[in-house]
Amino acid sequence: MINIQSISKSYNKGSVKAVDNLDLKVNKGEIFGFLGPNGAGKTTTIKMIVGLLNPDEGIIQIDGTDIRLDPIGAKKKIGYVPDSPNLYERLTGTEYLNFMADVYQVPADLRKQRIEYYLDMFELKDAASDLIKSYSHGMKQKIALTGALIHDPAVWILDEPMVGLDPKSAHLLKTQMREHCDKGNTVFFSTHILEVAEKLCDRIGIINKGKLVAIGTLDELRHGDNKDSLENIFLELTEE
Amino acid sequence: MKPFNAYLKMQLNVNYGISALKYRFTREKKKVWEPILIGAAILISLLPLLVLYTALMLALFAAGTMAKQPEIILTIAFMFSQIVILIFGLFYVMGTFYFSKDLENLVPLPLKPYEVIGGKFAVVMINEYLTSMPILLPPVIIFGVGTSQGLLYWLKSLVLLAAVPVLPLTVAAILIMLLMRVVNLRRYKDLLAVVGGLLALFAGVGINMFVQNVPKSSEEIQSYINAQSGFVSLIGNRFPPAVWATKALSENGLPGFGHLVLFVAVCILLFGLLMWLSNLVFYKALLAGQEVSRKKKSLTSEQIDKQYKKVSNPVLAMAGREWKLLVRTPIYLLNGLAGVVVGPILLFTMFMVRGSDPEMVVLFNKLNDPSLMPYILLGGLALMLFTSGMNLVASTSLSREGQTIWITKMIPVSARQQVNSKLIVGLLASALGVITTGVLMVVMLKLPLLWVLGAAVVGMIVSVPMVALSLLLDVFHPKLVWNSEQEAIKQNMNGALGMLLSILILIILGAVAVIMLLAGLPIVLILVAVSVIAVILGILSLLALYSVAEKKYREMEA
Repeated sequence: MINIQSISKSYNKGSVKAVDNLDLKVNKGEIFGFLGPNGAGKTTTIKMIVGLLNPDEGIIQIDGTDIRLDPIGAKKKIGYVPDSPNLYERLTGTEYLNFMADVYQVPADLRKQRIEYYLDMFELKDAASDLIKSYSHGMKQKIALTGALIHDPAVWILDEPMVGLDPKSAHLLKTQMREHCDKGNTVFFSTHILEVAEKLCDRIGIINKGKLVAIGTLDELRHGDNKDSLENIFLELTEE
Repeated sequence: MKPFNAYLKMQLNVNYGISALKYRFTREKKKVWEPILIGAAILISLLPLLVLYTALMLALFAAGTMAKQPEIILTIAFMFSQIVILIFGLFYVMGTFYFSKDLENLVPLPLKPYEVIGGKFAVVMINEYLTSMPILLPPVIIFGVGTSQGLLYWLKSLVLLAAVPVLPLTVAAILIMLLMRVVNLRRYKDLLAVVGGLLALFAGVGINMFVQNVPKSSEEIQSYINAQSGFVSLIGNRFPPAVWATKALSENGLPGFGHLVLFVAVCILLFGLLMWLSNLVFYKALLAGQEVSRKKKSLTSEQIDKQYKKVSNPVLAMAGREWKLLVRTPIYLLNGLAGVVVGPILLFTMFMVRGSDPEMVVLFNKLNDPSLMPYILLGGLALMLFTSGMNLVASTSLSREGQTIWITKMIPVSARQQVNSKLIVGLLASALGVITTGVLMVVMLKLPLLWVLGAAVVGMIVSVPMVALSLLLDVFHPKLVWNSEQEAIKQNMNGALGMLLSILILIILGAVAVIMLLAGLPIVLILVAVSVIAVILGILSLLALYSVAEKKYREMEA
């Protein structure tokens, strides 16, 4: 579903290498957790996948569509939420969702059905008619999630989706992610919460200093040592 | 470092962007010429006003000397500067004391309320020197040199110049603080911003009209002064501090010194009152204002049905989004739309105010002369294009997206569709200007409707290349990193460049029209020629816009 071939990205005219020759494949029906210390290159990688950043080299394909050759086609298959979404503060929640539905060209009956579903789930019905300016961080996160999922994309790409969500919403989102993948779709998300990754992910990738240092199922990462926790593995792999 | 000193240093650093500037030039290696050019442009645009003001003060001084009241310029200047500071101070103080974003970080710090206010006050005060100095320096220098004052005069004036903003600012701050204790103005923040902006606009025009209507010769001024016996004491009755300042400077020895002490003492007293009051009420009003008010009206299924049924195509949806953000953001509304509507109205009013002047009467009569119609019509068209072209809507369109640019990059909409939506909004803004000017031409100048309509149509055709080129500028080099909406639109080079481009197009088309007019060609032919050129320019600029957008939207990173 997501196919990344040797992508690299550097900042400040090549002096800082944020992502270094990264290869990654995420399969259909898979929840993929992307872990790494602060500044390891998680967000940079995610931004390249969704087309916000242009890789210096390498290829990214979403369900067979190259994000550079056919960006519009690839973007239609993606639903993306950044770690702290900057939204149009002077639009109401309803206006924002309608805007997203319009640009993704979601027909009226489907948009109504999905918006009602998510507003209900995230308990946003009270706030939808207010300006986004008045929302809390968690509410902004939820409205961004709703906007990103409104076109029912095959691939969800979520940067730290649990941050700012209350326990109930986080739980519901995790259930959603599972259901989405069970239907043969894909979820790719980054997180610092290792318990979530441990419980939820089919496969995990760990990135450190721009390089992928480990990838596989939890068992594969443990190398047969069942007592080894993800925390220990993570600390070991990302040590200086 | 003591907490207050650290806080004050931080306030000044943030306010003047010192660290940000350092980073910009040392780490990011951005162009140094940009801010310098902007600064130079502002200075040059203000210079004529300053020259005019200085000339006026010189005339006033000459007249005052003849009337044996040379100190009159000091009284007028001190009064004028303090009133200006008071009016702008009200909005400024409200913004920095109650609406600024850093307050929620300051409240938990181990600072007393009066310390927080003290730091904020210092920043406002330093900024007010930019207003008070141009008003006060010319008259103080003119009086000092003109009456050959000694060293003491210059020392006293230094003290007064430094102290001048204190008085009106403390009054403004105390008023605002008491007001905020009673009503939560935060709720009307956007409205207040619009009111403040319009006030500034009208004040600017008012000053212009005042300067134009002032008696020109010093004899006239002299007779004016003589008519009001004891001008200084007349003002003094209504606004004593201006007189204290005047006497502090104009009188020697003990009386002069006494008035200086009085002025400074009142400043200190008021400042003390402000500090005492801030300890008492500042946090109470501030914290009460922090509560966010929301309607809390739950959507029913029927409402969702109704609200989410309207489906529109992506281009219109994006244009709608941009229009809403434009209208709902005070600073964008003022600089983008208010100008095209209020600008022509003010311009026409200024003409009409002088309607009784003999020259103007002759001019108005000529407007109905059929043989002059072509000239009037072309002049009207130029006015339409000038007023509609002087807006920043298209030239800051992409810049205004700022940190929300990730949405633009994420959505599956082509670059061509993106700029098409921006073209729609830009053309709408221009249409507002064309229509306002057109209506004024019909209503106030009584020009024939059909002619004005024709001019309006040509005006809209010419707007296309103007808007497309302004947009091209912004797409080519958008300013996406900004901290306040003000920065996005006012400290954006593209805005000024866009206006320049619009004027350039106006000059080219105007030259064509004038040449054809001199050749004796009929007006209809001229309008057609102007339209044809505009259409060609429009097509070329659209093609350029699309190809640049295709490249830039791909390269742009969020």
